[in-house]
Amino acid sequence: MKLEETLNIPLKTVDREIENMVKYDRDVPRSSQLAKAIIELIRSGGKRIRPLMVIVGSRFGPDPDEKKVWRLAAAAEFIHAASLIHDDIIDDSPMRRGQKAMHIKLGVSGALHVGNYMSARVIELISVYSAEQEKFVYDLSSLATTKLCLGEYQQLAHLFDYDVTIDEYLEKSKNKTAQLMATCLQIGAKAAGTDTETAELLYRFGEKLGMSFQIRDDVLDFTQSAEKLGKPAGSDLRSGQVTLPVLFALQDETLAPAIRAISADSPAEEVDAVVAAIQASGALEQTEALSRQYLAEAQDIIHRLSHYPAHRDLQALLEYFSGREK
Amino acid sequence: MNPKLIEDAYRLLQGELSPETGIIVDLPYPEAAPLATLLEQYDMPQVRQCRLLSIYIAIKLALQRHSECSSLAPGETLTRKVLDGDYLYSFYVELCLKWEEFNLLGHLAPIIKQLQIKRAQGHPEDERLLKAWERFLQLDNNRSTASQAM
Repeated sequence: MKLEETLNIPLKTVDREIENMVKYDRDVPRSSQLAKAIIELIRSGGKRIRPLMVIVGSRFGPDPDEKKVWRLAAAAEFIHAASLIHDDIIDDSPMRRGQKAMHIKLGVSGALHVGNYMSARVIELISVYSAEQEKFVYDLSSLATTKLCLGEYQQLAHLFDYDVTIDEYLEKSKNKTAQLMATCLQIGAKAAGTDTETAELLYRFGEKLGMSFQIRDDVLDFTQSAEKLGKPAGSDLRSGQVTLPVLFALQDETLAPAIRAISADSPAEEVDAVVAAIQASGALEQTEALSRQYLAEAQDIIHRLSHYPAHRDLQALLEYFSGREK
Repeated sequence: MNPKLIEDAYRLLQGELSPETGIIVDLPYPEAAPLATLLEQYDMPQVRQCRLLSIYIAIKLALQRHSECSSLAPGETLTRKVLDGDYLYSFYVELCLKWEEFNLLGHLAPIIKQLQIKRAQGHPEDERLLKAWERFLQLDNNRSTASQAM
């Protein structure tokens, strides 16, 4: 069963709400290139993990403000999609969800400002509709993307830096990936009037899922086929990203010199050999083990929330993230 | 125009930015001057003048960084410009929240969005930003005058 079916959240409704963000913007004519580009991006697919997390979070509160919850769910996807558009510019990725990336379709400037529009639209909607000041401040500060940017800066600062520590790597992953996921659960919970302790537990649960997700992503870069990845295995290392499998492999003294020799100018064959050596080492298993540890900690949080019927939804999320979707 | 106000606002913004970003507040002074002149016409504490000007500078810097992207090839320079703009657009929101300038945020949010729409269409109308500030300062002044009269 698909995640959205297990959670009983119709993805069509989620998508409609996301599309409404632009359709009901009086400043954007429906026939404009901007509106078309965004609708096309939304319709190109996506798992909508973040909106689903907002809605799941709201199931922990006594008084879900349905309209607000759905709006926040759509906002979370807008923030995520905007960051993907900008990521593709930075990485010069030509494709996104099987289609040409936005900057290939509209040029760098066009794509940049489509992404900016999406982020600015979220801020506008929250500022306009949030009557209660306390909630307004909370919603806006939660969805602010400064942390996400800091994660990107941290990644940039450590390109080909083999002395980066595991703690620094985890901090970067938290900022870049886990924080938004954690926020999604918490913001949904708060919109439903959840108590502070539960909202905090949901944040920690989301953070652990996000960390596990990012770590698995780093493993997949080494284990999935080039065909499935759409790029050669070990692409992160080729572009200078020293991810967790590389950090664990660096602890092997026989492997470390070859890894440390990799730079932006290294020929593909040299990188191929190092990637193969990392694949053959125990580094991927060590990385997987840490990913599982985060999931185990997330499982503990589910147990603490087991008096809520919605704890089953957390279980569904956890199983989805651990790749054991039923 | 009081150059000290501009200098103080630059210093304030630089101090607020995370050092990890590596952003240098290097907006040319003439870009900040029109709002500085405008702010001096209103009766408000110096600290607020300085905060408002630093928020304006953050937005101007975001606009500047992203307008420089179209001519750049993929690489670190482009990456930094994209990230700087993204960070600053988010940071101005954080500054408004931190300094409790909620009315300003509500006033600016649709304007910033409209600037993006115009830029996405290839017809930038960045001058709208200063006009929006002018209008905000008038409204803010009317509000405070009305509340004093009550």
